[in-house]
Amino acid sequence: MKTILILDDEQSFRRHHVAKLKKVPGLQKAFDPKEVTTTDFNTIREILEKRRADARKTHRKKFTDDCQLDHASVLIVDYDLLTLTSSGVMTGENVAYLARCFSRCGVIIGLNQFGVNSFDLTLKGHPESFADLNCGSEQLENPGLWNEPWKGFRPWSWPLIPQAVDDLEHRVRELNKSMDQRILSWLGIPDAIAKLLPRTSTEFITKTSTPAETTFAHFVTVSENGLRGRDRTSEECKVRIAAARITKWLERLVLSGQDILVDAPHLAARFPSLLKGSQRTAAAFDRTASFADLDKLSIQHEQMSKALFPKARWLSRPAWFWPTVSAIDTIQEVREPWKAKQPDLVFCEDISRFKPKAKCHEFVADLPSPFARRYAVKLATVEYRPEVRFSL
Amino acid sequence: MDKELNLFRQLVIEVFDRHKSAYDDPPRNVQNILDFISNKYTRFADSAAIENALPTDDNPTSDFKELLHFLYLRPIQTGAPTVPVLSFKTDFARSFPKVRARLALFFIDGVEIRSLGYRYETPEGPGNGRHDYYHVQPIRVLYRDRPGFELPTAPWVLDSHPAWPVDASDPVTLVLSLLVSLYGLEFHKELLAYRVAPMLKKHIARTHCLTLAPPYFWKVQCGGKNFHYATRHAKQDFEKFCVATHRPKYSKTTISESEYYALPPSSQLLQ
Repeated sequence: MKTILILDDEQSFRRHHVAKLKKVPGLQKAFDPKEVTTTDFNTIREILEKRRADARKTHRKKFTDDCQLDHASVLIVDYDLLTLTSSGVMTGENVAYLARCFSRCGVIIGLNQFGVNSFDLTLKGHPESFADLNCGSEQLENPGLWNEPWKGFRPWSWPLIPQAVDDLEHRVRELNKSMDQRILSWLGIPDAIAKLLPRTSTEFITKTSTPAETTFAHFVTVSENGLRGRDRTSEECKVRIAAARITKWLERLVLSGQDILVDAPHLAARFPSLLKGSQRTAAAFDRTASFADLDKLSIQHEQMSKALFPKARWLSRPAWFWPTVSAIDTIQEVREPWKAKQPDLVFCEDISRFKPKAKCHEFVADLPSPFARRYAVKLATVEYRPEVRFSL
Repeated sequence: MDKELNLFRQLVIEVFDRHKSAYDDPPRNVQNILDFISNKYTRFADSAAIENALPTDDNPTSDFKELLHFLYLRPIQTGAPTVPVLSFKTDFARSFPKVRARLALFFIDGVEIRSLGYRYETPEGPGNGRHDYYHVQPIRVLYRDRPGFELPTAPWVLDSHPAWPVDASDPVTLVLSLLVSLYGLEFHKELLAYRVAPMLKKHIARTHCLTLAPPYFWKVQCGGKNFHYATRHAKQDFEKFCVATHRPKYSKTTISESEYYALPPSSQLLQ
């Protein structure tokens, strides 16, 4: 049984989330949600601060003392910890940083830093936050965050948390002896495609060296998106930082533009001939928006195998290199672009489903990408922000 | 860095920087064109990517075709709304640099997407070939060795002639000529605000289209009426014209360009 720890300054909220998470279909079989009491939190904070201070003085392979966070597969932390008087000026973001850099904690979910039930129309997704996912407290028990299938609100940028937990541990094992490898080549990003990465993307992994030369170790210690300032940590934690933060970079600053990497639903919207079967219904398109294995996606992936992003566990969904896909001449729309018929359906980023274009709202995401124009159904219960991004 | 190469790079990068915002949230008539072409012609959307795609001293050859990314110039809204899409191939390693700028102009005809394509080129060879001069010629296919790059052009459009001479004598003036051919002399005004403009003075001076002698503006008073002229005649030649035209006597004073253009068009006389 995997542990979910819920950290909030208000006991009633902690208990509310524990109770509601227990009711999420299928979650109880694999996860045990628990609250972190104020006393527990103080202990955790002391241990993490001690580890932080010790690591500056002594080089360590791993931390040998025990911390409750080391055993958490998921840490859910509220941004506002004001009434935890002992926490001083500590915010959920500070806790996320400490947890990621000085513990063996799994996936970190930051709550309410950007609204309790909002949808981020920039699609940038706060890469600077050390939470692996930022969402609102009203969204935490959304079944779509934990399981497939889903109904209603379910941002496509969200991973599937149980899968994200497994993927993180897989990446840690994979990276264990590769910290001195160059990030881009190790991830299998071809040189020609790496040159297309926008500056806002590459500056996340390095501010001083050439992106193509940057190693995982350099990223963790120098980029400022790993360890901050003069902080040092154990070798084990460095691997975990790289495994978590590079995936956030890939998801939020590389995949989000859908021009370097493209995932199945965005690809199907551009090249409908790639759909399996002859039907071009919303249901057929919807079967591309899934976190299932490649073979279960309703897309003819075989003809795009040379374009597939090779490190499957480093992204929450399969993705392909767009410049490579767009040159594959077995794809009808590549071969005969002027005969291509675009579907009347568009992919809605807020519900991860296809809907008729006429029923959707167009918005312009804040991404350095030619594919920044996207769609949402705009649900009344959700706060879409910044709302000015909706096309006039 | 090779001066010519450096200027070429800086000019193209700045054109990109200044034109890209036109595609952030374009008007509907432009978006209609983009809906047809965006999936095939992926737009450079970040300056780092285009910087990497252009030639450098270390790597003086480049070809956008290898990246299948394109430089989208600002849409033209005069006449049919048009989206100009550009692809460069360069070789600055040669003593006479080679630059091929493939330009596709996309527009809507009824409900169909259409295009006219042109290739702006430095001389193809050292001097004894048919096209060994700075020229522009129509094209029907953007890349012959890549699938699907036949432009939606009428199949009977000629694609080897005419090969019009262009007002260029180096890669930089070739790019300037291309831009003037799209945006007219408005582009010259735009260019003067570019960061790279001070370094382009010698190149601009080499062109004919951007170095026409400035006109003089005159106000001629005759018989109680005012006549406003723009003329490129020398002072004594204009004097002869006035003597012959404004009888029996007249007086004239110079006026400013802005004063002349502030007049109603019917009062703006040309001589």
